[in-house]
Amino acid sequence: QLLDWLATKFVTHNWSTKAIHRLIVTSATYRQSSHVTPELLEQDPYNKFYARGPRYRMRAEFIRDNALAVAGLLSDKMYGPPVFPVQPPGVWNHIGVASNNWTTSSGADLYRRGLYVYWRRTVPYPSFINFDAPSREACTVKRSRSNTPLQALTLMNDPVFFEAATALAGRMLTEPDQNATPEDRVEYGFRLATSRWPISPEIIILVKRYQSELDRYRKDPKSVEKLLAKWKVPANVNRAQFAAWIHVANILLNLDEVITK
Amino acid sequence: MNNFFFDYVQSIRRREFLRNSGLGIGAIALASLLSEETAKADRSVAKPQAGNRKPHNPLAPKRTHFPAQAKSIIYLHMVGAPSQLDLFDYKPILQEHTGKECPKELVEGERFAFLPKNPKLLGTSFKFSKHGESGQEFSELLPHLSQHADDIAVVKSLHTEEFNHGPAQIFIMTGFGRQGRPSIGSWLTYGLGSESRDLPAFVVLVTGLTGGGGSSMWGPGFLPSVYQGVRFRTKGEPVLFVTNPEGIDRAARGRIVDDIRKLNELQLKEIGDPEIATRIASYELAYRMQSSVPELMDIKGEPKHIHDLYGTQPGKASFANNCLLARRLIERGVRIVQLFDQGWDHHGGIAKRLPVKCKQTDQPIAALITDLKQRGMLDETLIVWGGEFGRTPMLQGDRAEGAGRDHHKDALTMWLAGGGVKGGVTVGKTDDLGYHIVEDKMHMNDMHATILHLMGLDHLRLTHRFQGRDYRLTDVGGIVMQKLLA
Repeated sequence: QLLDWLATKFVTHNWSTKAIHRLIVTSATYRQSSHVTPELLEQDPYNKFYARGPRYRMRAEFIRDNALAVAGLLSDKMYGPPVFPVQPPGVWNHIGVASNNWTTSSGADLYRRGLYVYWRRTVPYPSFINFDAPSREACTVKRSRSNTPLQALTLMNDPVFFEAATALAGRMLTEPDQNATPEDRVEYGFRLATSRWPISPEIIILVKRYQSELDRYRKDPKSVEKLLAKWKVPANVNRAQFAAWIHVANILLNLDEVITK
Repeated sequence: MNNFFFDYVQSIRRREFLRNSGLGIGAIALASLLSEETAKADRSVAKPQAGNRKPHNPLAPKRTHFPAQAKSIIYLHMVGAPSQLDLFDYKPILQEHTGKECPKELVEGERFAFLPKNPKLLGTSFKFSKHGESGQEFSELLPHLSQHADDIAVVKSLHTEEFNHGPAQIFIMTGFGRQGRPSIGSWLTYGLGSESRDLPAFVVLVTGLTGGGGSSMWGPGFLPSVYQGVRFRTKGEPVLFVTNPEGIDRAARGRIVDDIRKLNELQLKEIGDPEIATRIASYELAYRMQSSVPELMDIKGEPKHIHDLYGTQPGKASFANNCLLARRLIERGVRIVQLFDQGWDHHGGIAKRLPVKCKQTDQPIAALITDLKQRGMLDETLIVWGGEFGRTPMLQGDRAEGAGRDHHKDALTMWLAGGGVKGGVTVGKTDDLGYHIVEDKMHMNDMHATILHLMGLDHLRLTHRFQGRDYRLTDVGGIVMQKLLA
């Protein structure tokens, strides 16, 4: 019935997808909180009756796009040939006519939307596969939404996501006011990553993390350089502070709500 | 206490529990993982159960359809299709006809991958002999495997439907010649669940280039992606992203994972979505994998006699190393292990090249059987060996390359050992030229049905609804070959 109603609305709104999107996302149903109570879970475990707002993990490409956007790295360049983000060496090693040379892109191409990532079906881009992107060898109408340790490893250690963490750390260090406190910076980064204000327990956890890593780095400057060696460091920043913020940013980009829509 | 007061206290307790449960959820999630009950990750697996608030773990160990000996499987796939006529299927009459033209009836109307219209015949250039009490026949290229003649069951009468590598690999791995269906490893994971807490349920190891079938060979197809095979690489990081970035050591990573957990727990308390609990558990498992995977892959600690047995060299990527890793995986609760070895596609140069491949694989495979036997694990481990099709008795190749054989879908040889398999038997026969099957014809579906049976699964019952139909590994066929069962 709902589908019928929506379909009719779609037609009467001149087949405008923008209009139907607006209709859906501004509806009271969609805007419900996704807060789940045991009663709700019992009566409507799969949210079939829309007893609560939807809360789903984002799709593979969106997770990448989101991380890059939060980090301030996302390129909005459109069209053109596909791109090659950083991929671990040796992944492409298949028999076939195509070469096994993955030539990493450079410049803005590295940060284009996931939509543009080169797709080789027999050995697809691993970070997307880890988040349930289908290989595209057969038509997949619905992606699964798995929740696996490989995803955790990807978000923590994939150079693409770690670079995003360093860039986010850079934003937290350079964009707020010069006199901003660590609490201010945590709030700033948290808002960038989650679109909401952090509550006090959250701020405390993250500030503590920053302080404790900063103390370690102050005592051991060599370890700072070890961390920063491969990454772009913003101009005129305290390197130990930057290193400490990277830990915080890595945490932020790994939060469940940051990869959930 | 009167009723009002009692109810009031109870309601406070409940609210407090809900409010405070978030703080302990990490520990509960971990304990849940240990007792195999984490929140459901994918809805298409379980049907909703009224009033059942228990979270569902798609990888929880499942009961088999009936009791079975084999609890794990090591599937050795020789990519390219090994020449059965030079390894297992001895055809003396074919040998007499070497160099002569192939009888027209055999090639009339047949399609070949590469052969010309009127090919010649090629017998084997290797000596065959009988071994063990069972008297099974092996060529001289398999001196180590021959020692296990009484442990293995050889099937000479298999046939498949595809004669080119990519589709044939997909056929033997998924039961159908086009991509999109779950691999046998994924079906088994779906049917059996996982008994490993620190490692994936289904692990794949590859030597050489990956076959054209690609990741479909261990992919989940239309099954939930949690059932896919995880490829452990033997060069570089074994599992992608298992290594921390430079400058983040294990302790630092631990502190970060801890904070991620604390923040996720706050969210879990606030929102209540069970997926958050699963994510917390995933991070704990990922952190453990960061230590368990390198430990698994490090074979330096194995005693010298084991290295001698397999011919392994720590640090070197080799099939032998992968065989040893397969045993280590099984020991650590990984039930589905597949090894892919590339380089068996001998269209030419059999005399020179086949011995090389055998040298790389014969000893370690035999070592694996010996090793499992010594540890009392062979009875519970099913070992399967084969390629994606057979090779023709017709000669292919030129003078420069040396004689070889073309692809042959109508007769191939596989063998099985361990886990409830009847050792020391040969099932099936091909004709005098090794071209057609004349006895105990087995389709790939039948082999799959038999493998599932050995693992305790009824191939007719292991299904998944997709596109309105109950798909199964054996497609629309599959008869268990009783002669292979002990």
